[in-house]
This record gives sequence, C-alpha cells and structure tokens, in this order.
Amino acid sequence: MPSIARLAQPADLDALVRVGEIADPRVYTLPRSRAAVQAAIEHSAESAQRSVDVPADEHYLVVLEDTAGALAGAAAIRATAGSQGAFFCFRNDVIHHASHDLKISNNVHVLSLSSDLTGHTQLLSFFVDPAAAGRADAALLSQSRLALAAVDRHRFGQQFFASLAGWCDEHLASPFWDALGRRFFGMDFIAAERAVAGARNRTLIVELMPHYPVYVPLLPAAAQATIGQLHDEAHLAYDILSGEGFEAENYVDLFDGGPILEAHASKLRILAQSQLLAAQALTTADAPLARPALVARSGACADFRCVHAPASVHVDDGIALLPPGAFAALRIAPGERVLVAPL
Amino acid sequence: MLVLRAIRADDAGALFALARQAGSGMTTLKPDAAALDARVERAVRSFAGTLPPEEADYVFVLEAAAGGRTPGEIAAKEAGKVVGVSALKAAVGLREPFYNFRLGRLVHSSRELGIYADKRTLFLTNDYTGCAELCTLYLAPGCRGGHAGRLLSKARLMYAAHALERLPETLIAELRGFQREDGTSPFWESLGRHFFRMDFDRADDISSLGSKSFIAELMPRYPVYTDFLTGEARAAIGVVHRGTAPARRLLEQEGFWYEGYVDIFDAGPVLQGHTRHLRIVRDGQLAIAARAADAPAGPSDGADAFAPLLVANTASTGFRVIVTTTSALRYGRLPLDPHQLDALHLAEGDPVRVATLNPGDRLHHG
Repeated sequence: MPSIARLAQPADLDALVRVGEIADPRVYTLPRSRAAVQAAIEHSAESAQRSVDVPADEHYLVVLEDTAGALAGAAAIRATAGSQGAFFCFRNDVIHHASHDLKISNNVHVLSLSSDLTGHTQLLSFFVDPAAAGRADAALLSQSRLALAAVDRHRFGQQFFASLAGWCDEHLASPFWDALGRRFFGMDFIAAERAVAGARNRTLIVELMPHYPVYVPLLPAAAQATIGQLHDEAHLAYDILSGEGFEAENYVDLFDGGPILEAHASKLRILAQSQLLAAQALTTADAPLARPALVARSGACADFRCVHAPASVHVDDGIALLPPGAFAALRIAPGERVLVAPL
Repeated sequence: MLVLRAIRADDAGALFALARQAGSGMTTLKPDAAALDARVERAVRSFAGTLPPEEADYVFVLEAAAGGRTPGEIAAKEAGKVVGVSALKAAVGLREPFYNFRLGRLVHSSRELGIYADKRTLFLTNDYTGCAELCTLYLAPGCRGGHAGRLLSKARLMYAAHALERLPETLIAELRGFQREDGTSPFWESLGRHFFRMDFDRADDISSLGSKSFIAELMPRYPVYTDFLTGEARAAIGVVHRGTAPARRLLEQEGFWYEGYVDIFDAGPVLQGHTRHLRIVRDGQLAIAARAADAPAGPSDGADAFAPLLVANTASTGFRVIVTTTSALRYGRLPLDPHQLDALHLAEGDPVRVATLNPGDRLHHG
C-alpha cells in the first residue's frame, strides 16, 4: 500500500497527539494538547460534513499514513483565513521618496500591518515526522490540501497562502521579534505565540501591534536581515509549495518575519492542471505510458483520500488508468471519478 | 553702552563680518554675501512696512554707543561697531513648508493580555505654519557678559509689543538639539540619516539655504514609533545642546514653553508662546521719557541698585532699545540721561516702551 493522505478521523487522536509532541512549537503550528487535537479533528469532520455555499470557517485536517499504515504527519487547510475577525500580517511596501532639487531618491522599505489576506484560503500546520516519512511523502501530504481544494472548489477561495516559520538563531531568538513585536507585546516570542495560540486573527494584534507602517531602515541590521527568511526547518515546506506554484513576495509574518507564500488558484499546478477522470485498471499494455501523478478520490469530502501513483491518462476518453494499489488506497472501484494531477 | 536697533541697508558689510565670525554652527547666518544682502533689504522693507505683514523679517543689530560702563560694553567701545544680530520673522512656512516632529503618544493596550504600552511617536507636521519665529541670534564673543545677550534676545519681544497687530498669535523659537562631545547628533544618526543618506551638516546646510521642501520629499511621512530609535536618540528628543540651555531658560522665563515639537534633524525643542501673553509684551508699559539729572536719581551706593530695564522708542524703521540700570518708572515718566536719549534717538517728552529686563523685577520706583 502506498502512503496515503486523508482527512483525520477520531481514531487518529492518539497518533496526532504523539506527532504534536515531536514538532517544535516554534516552527510548527499544529494543535498539541489532547483537547486541541480532538477539537481540530472534530472541527475537520464537521467541516467535511457541511454543505458549503460560501467558504467560511471550515478547517480541514489532513493526515499522512505511511506505507505501514502509521500516522507520520499532519497538515491543514483553512477555507478562509481570519474568518472570525481578520488575518493579520505585514505587507512589504516600498515608499519612494524623491527630491527633484537634490537629485536624491530613496526607496524606503516599510512594513504595514495588513489584513489583505483575510478571506484567502490558508495552508497551515504542516508537519511530517522526519524519522517516518521521506520527501515524497511530505510532498504528498502538502499537495493533498490542494487536491482537496481541487476536488471541492466551492469550499475554498481563489487566493491561497501559507505562512512559513521565520528565521531564528541558535538560541531560538528571533531578531525580528526582538526588534519589533517584543516592543509592543513586552514578552518573548514563544510567550506571544502562546498568547495568541498561534493565530493571527486576534483583536489583540490590532490593539498591540504598530498601527502605522514600520520603517525597515530603522530596525537593527539583524532584524532587517531576517525579514522573509525561513527557519531552517521550514525549507522542506517552502520547496514543496514553491514547486506547486506558490511565491513569496508581498507579505511576511507579524511575529517572526517569516515569508508568506501566495498564489492565485490559476497559478497552482494542482488546481490548474488537474482533471476529473473515471478510474480504470491499468493494463499491461498501458503500463509504460503511466506517468507519476497525484490521484485523489472525489465525491464526499469526508471520504477524501489522496496518493501518488502512476497514471495513464486518456483525456479524450475521460479515463485514467491506475494500478491496483491505487484503487485499494483510495478505496474506490473502477469507474469512480478521481482527480488526477501530473507530478 | 550698547544699543539694539533695526538693521539698515548700510549694515550689510557688518552683518557679513559677523556671519564669518559665527562659523558653521549658525545655520541661519551663513557668510553668503548675496543672501545676507537680500536679507538686509527684506528687513529694511519689513521695518518700513512696505511688505505684507506675514512676509516681514525683522533683523536687529547690537551696536556700541557712547556712554555706559558695564563689562560687556568695553570691547565695543568704538561707537557704531556692530557686535551682535538677532531676528524676528513674522511668519514661517508660508512660502515653503515649515516642518517639525510632534511628539505624540499612542497607547497600545490589550485587556486580555494585561498589556498597557504607552508609545511615543514622532509625527511630521506643519503645525507652526504662519507662526512668528525668534531666530538668528549671534553675539560676538568679546561682548558676552553683562546685559548684552539678554538685550539682544529680549529686545525682539519689545518689538513684538510694538508691532503686536502685525504679528501672529503664536511666537516660536527653535533651539539647537543635543549633540555628543564630537558634535554628532544621536537623533540624526538614528533617524534622519536613514532617509537622507548624507551627514547632518550637509542636510542642515541645504535646509538653511531654504530648500526645505526636500525635507517632506525624503523624511518619513508616517509617524515613527520612537521605540525604533536608539536609546541615545530617544533620550535626545526635546533636549537642547549644552550651550543652548541658558537660552532655553531665558525663553521659558519670558513665557515660552515646550509643547512637544522638535526639530526634524536634531530633535532640539521648539518653544512656543502666545505673543500677547509673553511677559515683556503683557507687562511692558508705555511711558514718557524724562531728562534725568546728571547724577542718577537712585540710591547713592551705585546706579545698579535699580533693576535693569529694557527701554525702547516707539519708532518702526528707527526702532532702538537699550538697557538702563540708572532709573525706574515714576508716575509714568522714565528719567534718561542724555547719552541714553541719544542712543534711543529720543527727546525729552517722547514716548518710550519700558519693561524689566528680568522677570520678577519691579518696573516702578518706590
């Protein structure tokens, strides 16, 4: 059986709590306490059961099952960020100052508190146990969220983003936080993250963070250098999302200055290039034509499952030929429609 | 004796000499002959009343006159020698914007986290647009001491009392900001430098040459949280240069106060006052000049037993002010000796404006 990404279920509770214990809280935003994990599972299941007209506060938790059937990672997708308020981040702005008389012009970089990403679909809480899952499995888990969106387009927005952990030094200090957030929160980075429970939608952010643009040249050099820089452990997530069409440019995280990757649905490979096709068994004759693909079960959201499998796509016939393992992993019968995206 | 008077067209040379003596510290008195000539011409027209009131730039010079004996006057014994300059500009910011930072406060608080943070911010403003300004004060080193400095500075307020209807409600004075021992400004290093990318002297030079519009073009337009400045820069906000502390005290005693506005380069404080409520304007009185007996009319142990008085004539173009320590107001008359009457270009029976030089002194005799 190949590795599978699927929606979390109540039975995953123990395994998810264990996964939460090994994930560094500075880097990963997944729920940790038993109660929080349970709430996340229930919210995900409830979201999947909803009939959605307009995306709202649905939050889907996806887990990675390795080839042995053990839980090796988790990731989430939130239909709309900041649905109970606003999603806050810093926008990179450039203010052009020019003096004609003096023939001086400066482009001044400022960070503006922004709620631009409110209502966009957010990928979050991505974590794989490095001991249990390789790069391909990690990619499957990350991609599965986009596959979920591709299967049920109306459940999600047109704009997607993911905020990745920002750089910190060997003492786990964030120069960005120390130069900026600490002055307004008066506490350590980790304490502040705990205070907002990792969220960026709390009114206390508006209450505390600078209302006016922050002039970057006034920040210490170490903090400036950190803006948009990844945490060492966030490179994997970055590489996977970049490969899917995400780009980091306009926004950074409020607290640690980490990059926020964004993309319109039309720029995301899985959303733009996937097709719904009828699954048929891969014949020996077709086997050489099969290409690596991401294959996801369509139909009821709660039954969503997703694998990497070789697929031979016949667009004109509206079919995808899949190996037997894929049928088993996706729990589908021949003739059922699957989402296929080339890898 | 020293007399302060309205500048004349023939003072341009003397003003240039003073400017050269003043050196680079004086940003509003650069040894630039053309600029100084233009300023003198403008001042002459200001006193003559041929300029619209808001364009007036009243420039005064301090010169030696016959008579007198206080220490500061000895160096200026050559009668007619110009030893100091001061000015009162009727309005700032009407041709080119006049910028200051206003030190504001923003309270960031979260009841949920129990955080209450009182943040200081710097807002770029033009709030003093149209206010009159005390500026350009320089006194030759040999003449410091005695009443010379106070005469040079406070005589402008005597003129304000005289020209009250031609001046705006608010009068300000920009004071030089804190500098380190090596002459650098920590405020500039922490803020302005990032926006100008030039050193303080050059920026200040450009500013004093009148190209102030570039300030808006390059300075931060959004409020700056002072948290983002260095601690040294924060500590310099509203703090005067060590050498300027006496000037600040002097102005504060005259009714000026610091309202939280500072210079955009060095964060030196701007003091402001209501023109009408400044001590000299409010408490000064008009009197009649009387001829004093040759011997002073005061106690026998010395003329200085009288509190020093600022005495001004009531002319515009020929505005003149002296300090007398030899008499006091008595029944609306002020006795003046012949040298003093000459210095003020007055005759017995002419009106004079009188105010005590120092706050707290008595204007009247007996």
